[in-house]
Amino acid sequence: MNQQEFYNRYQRQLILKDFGMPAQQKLQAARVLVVGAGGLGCPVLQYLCGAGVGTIGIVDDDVVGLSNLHRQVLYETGDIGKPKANVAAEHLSKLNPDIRITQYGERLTNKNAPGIIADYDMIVDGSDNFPTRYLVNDVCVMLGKPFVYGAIAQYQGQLSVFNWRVAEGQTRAVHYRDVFAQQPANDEVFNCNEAGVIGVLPAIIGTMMAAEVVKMITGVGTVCAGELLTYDMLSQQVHKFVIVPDTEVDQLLPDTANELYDFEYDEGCTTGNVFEIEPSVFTAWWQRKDTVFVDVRNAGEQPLLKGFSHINIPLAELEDRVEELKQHNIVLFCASGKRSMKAVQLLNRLDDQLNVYSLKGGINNWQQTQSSLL
Amino acid sequence: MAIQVLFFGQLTEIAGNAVGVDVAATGTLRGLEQELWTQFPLLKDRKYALSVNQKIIKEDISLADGDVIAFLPPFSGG
Repeated sequence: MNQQEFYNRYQRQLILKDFGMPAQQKLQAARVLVVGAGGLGCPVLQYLCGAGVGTIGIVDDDVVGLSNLHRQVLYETGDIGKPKANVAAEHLSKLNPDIRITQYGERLTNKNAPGIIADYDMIVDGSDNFPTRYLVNDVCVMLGKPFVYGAIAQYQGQLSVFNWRVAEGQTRAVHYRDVFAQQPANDEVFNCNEAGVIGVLPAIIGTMMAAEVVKMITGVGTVCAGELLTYDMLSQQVHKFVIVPDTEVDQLLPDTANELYDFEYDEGCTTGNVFEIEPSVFTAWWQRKDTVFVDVRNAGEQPLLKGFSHINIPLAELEDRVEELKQHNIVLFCASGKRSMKAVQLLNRLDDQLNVYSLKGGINNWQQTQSSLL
Repeated sequence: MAIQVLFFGQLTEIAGNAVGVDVAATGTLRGLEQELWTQFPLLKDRKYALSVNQKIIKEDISLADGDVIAFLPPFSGG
């Protein structure tokens, strides 16, 4: 981009008091990793890309589903079944071709997280589950990376910047475990799997997260560090709660990558299992040449499905017939989605390189979405 | 003494948005928590952080008339 285009693209923020070219150059030099390209990640990515953050990483192993579209504004109906990291990167490169975008189409794990996170100046946590949130926190603390935290449930959101700077009179920067020391168990939070969320809420919180990133990079304003902000959409009420370091949680943190490697993050409350695809994705994937569909019900179970090619391997025979599954993607289905999840676990145990998915809610759920469309 | 208690997130489904509680003058944060567990038994099994007058508090402290307590559950959604 030539100087004139550069000036024109960012003109409206360049002319801001206290912003100008120095701030714009800081944005251009910055490297920001966005974990999760969902409801929070979409607005974060859009605004960071628009603002001119020079290098943006996107971590997401999920595919676009129909139920995402009410809040995940980077995606369109025609994107159903496609990897979010891909679609987001394509969309963003059109928004601002001068941004370097790196895609990580994988789930953030205790194995890959240190390597990925080390490459960035700051991290944005827009993930949708507790294991990832604690992992991001612990790796950021280990590597000394600041991160923007945002989370939502129903009509409310939370926001903070963690691991930012050591406040006066304190011994270290505050982080997520200073508020919530340990991962909640499945029964300690309500409706862990399907809490529901209003579409505009992640847009509000995500945009606030993007604002924090811009402030952290450029130095304008005051970063929302050392306090937890809560937002309630129904009343438009905002509260802020001061957070201080809790030295008792220090022992909960892994100190080295080796220690992290042994940490078990997936035992807590998990939402949105990545191995499950929703009915809209199931149908969209019928067109894919690299995908085999496997009915894991016993022979003769009703209803028989027509309209797409699939094979039948009952769950009990799956272990012996795994050689028949040569395709890149393996989609398993049964009546309710329970046997097919067992089949996913079985295949993952046999070979962790396989891309295995289960139809969420099974044929029963899929048929309901079909009839409601007719 | 009168204490105001605010509930956030899905804890509002158990206790509503806010309740006023009258506690003994020697009341402490953990004592208040116990009292609320009796009033709202489902609260006991939930995960939350507590704040007193807009500051997250982990230890037990004495409460004063007019204090505002908040129950803050963790959110995971994104």
